[in-house]
Amino acid sequence: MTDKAITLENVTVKYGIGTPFEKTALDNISIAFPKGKITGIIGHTGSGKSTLAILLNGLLKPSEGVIRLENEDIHKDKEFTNKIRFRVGLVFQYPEYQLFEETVARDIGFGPRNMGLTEAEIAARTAKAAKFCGLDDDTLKASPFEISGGQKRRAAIAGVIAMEPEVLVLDEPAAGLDPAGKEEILGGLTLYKEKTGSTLILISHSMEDIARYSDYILVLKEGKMFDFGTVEEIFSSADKLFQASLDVPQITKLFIELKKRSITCRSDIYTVGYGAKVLISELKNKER
Amino acid sequence: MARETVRPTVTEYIRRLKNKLMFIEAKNLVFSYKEDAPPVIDGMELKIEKGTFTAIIGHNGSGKSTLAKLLCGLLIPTGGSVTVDGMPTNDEKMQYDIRKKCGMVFQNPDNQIVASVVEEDVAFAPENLGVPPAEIRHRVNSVLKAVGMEEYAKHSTYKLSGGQKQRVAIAGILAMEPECIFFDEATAMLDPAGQRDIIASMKMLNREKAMTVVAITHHMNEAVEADRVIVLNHGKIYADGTPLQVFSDVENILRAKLSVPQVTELFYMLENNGCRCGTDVLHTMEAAERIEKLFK
Repeated sequence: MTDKAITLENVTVKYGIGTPFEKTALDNISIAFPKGKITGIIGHTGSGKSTLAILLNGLLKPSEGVIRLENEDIHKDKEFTNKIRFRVGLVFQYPEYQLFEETVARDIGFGPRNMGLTEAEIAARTAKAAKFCGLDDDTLKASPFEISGGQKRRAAIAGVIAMEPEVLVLDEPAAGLDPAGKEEILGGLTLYKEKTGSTLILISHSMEDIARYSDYILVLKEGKMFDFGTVEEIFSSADKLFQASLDVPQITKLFIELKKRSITCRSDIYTVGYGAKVLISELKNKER
Repeated sequence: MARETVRPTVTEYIRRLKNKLMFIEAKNLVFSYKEDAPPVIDGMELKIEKGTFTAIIGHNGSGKSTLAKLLCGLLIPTGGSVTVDGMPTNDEKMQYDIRKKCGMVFQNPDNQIVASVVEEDVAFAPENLGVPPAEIRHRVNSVLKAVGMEEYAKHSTYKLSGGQKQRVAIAGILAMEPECIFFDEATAMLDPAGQRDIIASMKMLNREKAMTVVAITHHMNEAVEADRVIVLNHGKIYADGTPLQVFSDVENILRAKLSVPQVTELFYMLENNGCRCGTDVLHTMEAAERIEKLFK
């Protein structure tokens, strides 16, 4: 097993404790997010995905249980929790609504500036983050309000990357983007992970994206940990995912059907490219 | 001089019949947000017939949402014209009638839900339209039933899941009894089960209630359910046809920075590797059958 970046030990989150509206958002979750890997989180709406995201960078304190970054309790003291905010970067849903500065460059530099870095260091980090997110110089000089939706999203993500967090948590980073925009963002994030060795936690409703970009998958259902494993382990039980209001990629469905018809024996196919490779080689074998 | 025949030819007859069925018509439609800015919609001709289910796809910034707002009269063209059921959208006197004919469901149901109780939210539009109370009661019950939310009539809106909220938003639109309903990326924020719910609702409205449905989407699995797919690129119509016609031309779709359903992409890859399997496949089961034949 790989190293752990951030761990949750018996974490429970309750909202509205002591009121008639008390609700358990997360129920006794224990998980270790593997270091330097991408873990996808999937689950129905209201399953606790976003609650988990804000727990990880200390914005929310669990009602019970402990969260550790590199074996240290992130809530051990207030000063430490404040530092966690820079070490665990959080990109909210629709982060483009949070852009506010005069220029894109200044907006990206906002986090590093708050960290008390020198102007030279801020400029260097801004340039680096912009590069990962595919933002050119013209865009950096523009107002964040006059660029396209896809660019806004990338600018907002760059603003978190510029803090160079060890763990980057992204809540639906590609929602509402077209396929090309999706690939630019998720591809850029993968590159960022490879270059810096940081840990990525990716929340998404798109089973196709999760299958393509993640190493591990955490499945939440009604606030509980429903399943955790590698992409292969999770998507091989389609029926189980269906129970959790989820799905498997269409390509996986196709291979499950082909297995039923005893055409191929492979049902562990999660990406189209790999599926095509398998079919082509099986067709060639058959010709021989 | 030869006497002209009075009886229309078959094509002419069909053309007239189609005109009767015409619901939305855009002629040389141009729109830009600022006077000096390049147009977002650039000289478009488009007809949407009554009772059809049309999906509009295109990359971010291709003009999809702008087009939807123009077609239902929320935006007024800066050039050319749009008519909804014969009424021009730039005629202020007609706006009220146009709004009643077309409803729109937006991406985020939280932006659309106004009341804290489900049935009050659904009653909001008919109340504003001055519908008598007994009629409102009747409509609220029937539309909540139509979207499968009747059990939730007395529930708080904020405690619903995303898919449930979106179904309440649809019910709120249906309570106005429009003839046409636009979905502007209405499934973008939903989990797979929520997406299935909304796609099922779209199909139900179209097939059972004979409503005109226009869905703007990034989800190709949603677009394949429509009768017709329109692809936008740079403010112009880039492709227009049945889902099968549009998506089987994989290269064309990729050039417009879009994607095709995964099984279509698979067949495209197989084709490129010398399999003679075609790319005219959209659904999982057909794909399985086609592959079964390849192996026989």
